[in-house]
Amino acid sequence: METDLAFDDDDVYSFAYLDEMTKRMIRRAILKAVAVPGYQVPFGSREMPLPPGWGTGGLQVTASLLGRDDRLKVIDQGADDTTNAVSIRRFFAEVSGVATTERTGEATIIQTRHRIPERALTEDQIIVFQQPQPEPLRRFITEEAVARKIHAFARYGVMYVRLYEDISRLGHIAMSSDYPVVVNGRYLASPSPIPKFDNPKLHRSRALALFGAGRERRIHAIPPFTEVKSLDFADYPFTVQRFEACCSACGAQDSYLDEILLDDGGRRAFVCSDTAYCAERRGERTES
Amino acid sequence: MTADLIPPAFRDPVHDSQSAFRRLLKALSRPGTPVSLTGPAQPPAPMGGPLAAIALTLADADCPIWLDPALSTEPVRRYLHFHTNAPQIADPKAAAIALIGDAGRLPGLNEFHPGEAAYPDRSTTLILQLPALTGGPSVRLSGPGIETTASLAPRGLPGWFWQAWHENAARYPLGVDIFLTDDRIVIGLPRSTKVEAP
Repeated sequence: METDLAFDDDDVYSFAYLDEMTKRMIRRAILKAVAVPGYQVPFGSREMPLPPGWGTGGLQVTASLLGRDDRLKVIDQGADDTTNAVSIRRFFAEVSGVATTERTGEATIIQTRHRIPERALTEDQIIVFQQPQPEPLRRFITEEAVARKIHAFARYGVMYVRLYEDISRLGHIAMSSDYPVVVNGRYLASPSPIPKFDNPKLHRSRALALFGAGRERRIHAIPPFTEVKSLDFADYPFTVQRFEACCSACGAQDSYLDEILLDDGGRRAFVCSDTAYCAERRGERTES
Repeated sequence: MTADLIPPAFRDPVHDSQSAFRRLLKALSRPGTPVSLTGPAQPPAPMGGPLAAIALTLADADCPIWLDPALSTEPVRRYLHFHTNAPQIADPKAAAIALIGDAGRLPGLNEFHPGEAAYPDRSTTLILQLPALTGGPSVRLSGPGIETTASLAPRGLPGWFWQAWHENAARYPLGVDIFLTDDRIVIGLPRSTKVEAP
């Protein structure tokens, strides 16, 4: 059938799936996002062959960045081998033919869902976040027009009230992921649902960070060497999660850990959420 | 070649514009860093290669452009119209991108759109083509994308430029963003970049 339709296997898709006009539109939005760190730039999100909420925003940002010389890594909750990561990596291998890798150090572009790799990123890397909800105020400001005004005037008291309510009710700030940050001293932004363990990695990172929200049609960015402050109070400073355990596979004490149940009796173990980091520490050769 | 022929654009539109975009992204996310940018072969004078590459990479029917008097020649207008189909408009405030061939006669940064309080992205991006990106008065830059400070000494900017840039950065998050080019290099200057004299 395909030969009847004169389809050539090699050029069924545009390079990296999106058409050139869409890429140009997204590229203009990315440049604005870099110029105004933390500000959410609206863009014309396209229908992607993936349901909204599964990374269509990150997918479109990556598609607009990718070139033939790139090497792509895709992670989902730190892991290279989960469904979302595997399907997105295969998608780009299919529609662009770019090389892929699981090694953090080898990648030029890292698309991620909800983690930042443990290994420090470099100047030559770009990290692309899949972001379900880019608006940190959406938890309590449902109207876009109101949220936009709050951003315009930089009146972020309402977010501090939210944090204060946690402290008064629970004794601590109970947000363990998607912890709000102020970028470059101006815009309140959501770092995507990364654990707050990863927030310090965004502060003055050497790599450019781009955030794509497909359903919400927004792109924002944190350029390298940009001040990223996690909100806190003088008497309740921002802290990250601490683990009692270390990774049961590689013994790492500095990584973010996932808890796994081992049997019906409730035995548990902890392993690194970043599978590539764990594998490298165990000295295994990962697939590249 | 007869005078009527429009010179070609990128040889490989998909991959050349991708490569150019990544260089622009690098330039804008690391302000003050010179990034080499190869343009299409023989764009109509006085367009340099990087200036032409930026126009071809970013402009299209959804992206109105403004040309300064130096670039308002028939060959340049025809070239940009044919290759990008971007509306060429007379009001610099309505332009998404302003292409400036003679930076020395730049009317002033306030002529362009700084964006709106609720939509700072609705601003104009200026592409300034200069005789050289070194050898001019030196300034020190700081801000996002710069590890400590960066120094920059472009030649051919009007005397008021750095004072105007200081004012541009002072109204952050509003303001214009600039790409400085010569015949082979681009340097990014986003509105988040602050300037201090040496």
